[in-house]
Amino acid sequence: MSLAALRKPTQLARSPRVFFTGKPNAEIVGLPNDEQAQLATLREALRVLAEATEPGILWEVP
Amino acid sequence: MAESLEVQRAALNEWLVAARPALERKEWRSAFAGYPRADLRDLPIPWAPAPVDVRSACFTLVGSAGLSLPWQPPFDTAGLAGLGGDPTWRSFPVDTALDATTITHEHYSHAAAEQDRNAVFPLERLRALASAGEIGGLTETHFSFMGYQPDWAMVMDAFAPRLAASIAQERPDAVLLVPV
Repeated sequence: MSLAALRKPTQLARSPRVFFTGKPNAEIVGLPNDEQAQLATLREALRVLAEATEPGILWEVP
Repeated sequence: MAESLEVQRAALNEWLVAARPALERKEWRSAFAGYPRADLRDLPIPWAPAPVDVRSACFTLVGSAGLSLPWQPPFDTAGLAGLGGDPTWRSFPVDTALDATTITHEHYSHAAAEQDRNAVFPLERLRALASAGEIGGLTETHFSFMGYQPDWAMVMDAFAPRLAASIAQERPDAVLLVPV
């Protein structure tokens, strides 16, 4: 089973603080060579890291 | 309510025996048709406070894209006695040139990652964030493993704890996990 198949935090042994969903396989951080989009994804992860009050938040990426 | 872990482990062990011939033939669709995924919804989820200030926090990157460096052995796609998992990881210095890495992972399309490793292992992007002062820094070492691990019990019992111990030695304030 690839980790990409894990679409729900409940399927993880230790749920992360935030779990991005809706991104294509192997483009978890953003499209290749799209530095700004990749940085935006990482900044969003950092924001949730700082602000989250409970584990296992699903963050649906449009 | 989920089945007890003992019941789930028994189902996994039965599947590992029954699916082995199909796994050895790399007939993934038929092998995983009845795969007993771990259902961990009833386990407690430990909560760790976030760093007080992300801008002063030190991060470790961990990804499952199956990256290795030229002097490191590639992941064994026929490992675990034919099941195809490889419960090992490769370590990457913080200044690693990602173009030098190789992908060994048969269970995702490499198209994006071959164009830009940052799509699956954004170490260069994190270095940029550190340089800009948006995060405090990065640990000296970062980690990649092959996310295809059909024996989830082995991952829970052995692989994940050993990897976590190695990550902890880096003493990060937070860990960024990038599943593929």
